[in-house]
Amino acid sequence: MRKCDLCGLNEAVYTDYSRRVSLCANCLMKSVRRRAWHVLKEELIAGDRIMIAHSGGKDSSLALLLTKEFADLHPDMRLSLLSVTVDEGTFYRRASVELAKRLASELGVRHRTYTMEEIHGLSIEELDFKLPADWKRSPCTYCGVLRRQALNAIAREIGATVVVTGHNLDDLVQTAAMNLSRGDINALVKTLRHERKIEEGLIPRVRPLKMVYEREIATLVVAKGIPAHLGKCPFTQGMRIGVRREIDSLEDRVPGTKVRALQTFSLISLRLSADVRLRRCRVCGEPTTTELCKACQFKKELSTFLQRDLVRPLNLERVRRDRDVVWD
Amino acid sequence: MKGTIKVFLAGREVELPWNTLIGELYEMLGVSRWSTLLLVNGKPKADDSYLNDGDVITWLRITYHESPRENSGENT
Repeated sequence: MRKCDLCGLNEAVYTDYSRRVSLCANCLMKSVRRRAWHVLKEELIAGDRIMIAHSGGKDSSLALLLTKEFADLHPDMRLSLLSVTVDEGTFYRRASVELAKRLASELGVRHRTYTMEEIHGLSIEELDFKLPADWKRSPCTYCGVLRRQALNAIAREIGATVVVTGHNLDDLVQTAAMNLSRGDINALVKTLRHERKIEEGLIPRVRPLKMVYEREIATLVVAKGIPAHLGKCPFTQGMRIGVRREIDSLEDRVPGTKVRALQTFSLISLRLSADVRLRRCRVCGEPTTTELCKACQFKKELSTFLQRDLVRPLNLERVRRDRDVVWD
Repeated sequence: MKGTIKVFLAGREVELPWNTLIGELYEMLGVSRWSTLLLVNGKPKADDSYLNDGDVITWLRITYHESPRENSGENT
C-alpha cells in the first residue's frame, strides 16, 4: 500500500506534482481546508449573511462544507449560512438537487430551491426540446447567463451580503486566460479582484476554492463520501475545452503553473482599474453594463421559439417571502 | 514474480506489466488526469500507487463547471 508522505499512516489518494508528495484523504482535506479558510478569512466580514450557490455538484458541495466549518469555528464572526439551488429544470439537476438538500440537512444549514421556470419563465429542458438543432446557441449558453442572473437576484432579495460559489483554480485560470486572449481587461479585473461594495444590486462573491485544483476536489468528494453529484451536465458545450487542454498540458510539463498563473493574474488585476459602469437593465432592473441586460437579450431571442413574452422582470415573490425566515 | 497483472477496465480483462502505476495508466488510456479521475476498486489512489492483480478500474469525468465570468457584460 502506498502510504501518505505526510502522516505515513493512511493510504495515499492524491499525488501533488508541484510538491512531489502523495497524500491520504485526511492530509489532502487539511491542505484544501487551509487554502479555503485563508480565502474566507480574508474576504468575509463579521455579521455576513452568506448565500452558498449550491448546485449539489462536487465544487459547491465542498464549498458549503468548508464554509460551514469556518463559520462554526468563528462564532465571534456571527456568520449566517443559507444554501440555495437554482433548478434549471433538467433531469441532470433533479439528482443534484436531492444531494444538495441532503448535504445541507446533514450540516444543519437551511436550504432553498428556486426553479428557473418560476424566476425566468422557462426551463432549460424546454429550450432543448424547442430550439432548432442548427440554432446558433446551445441551451448551455442561455443557462449560464440566466442562472448567474437568478443567483444574484435571489441573493439580493433574500438579504444575503455575500455569495459563496464553488469556482475552483482550474475554472478561474481558464476564465482569466480566455479574458486575456479576448483582450477583455475589464472582465479580468472583475473576475479576480474581490470587492465588498454592493454596486447596483450586484452582490459580492467569495470563492473559497479558488486556489484548489478541480482534481483535488473530485478526489476528496469521492474519498470522503461527501454527498455530491459527480455527473456531467448533458448540455455542457465545449466552449472552453481548447483553453483547458492547453493549460492542463502546461501544468503537466510545469507543475504549479495554474497556481502561479492565478497569483500573477490576481496581482495584475490589482494594478489595473476596471472601466465598468454598472447600471440597471431598462426591462428587468437587474445590474448590467448595457441598456438591455444579456439575460433580457437572450429572452427576447427565445420568446420567438417559446411563443410567449419572456422579457419582463424576474419573478422573485417566493424569494422575498423567504427573506424573513431563512436567516438565524 | 509474475511478469504481468490482470485488471478489469470498463468490464474487460486487460493484461498490464506487473509494476504499472496508476499515473502510467492515464497515459496508456490517453486520458488527461485533469479531466478524468481513475478509481481503483471504487476509490481514488495516488498516481504513484501500483496496480494489483484483479483491480477493477473505473473512471469519473471531473470537468464540468460553469464559467465564473467570460466577458465583462455577459453575466451582469
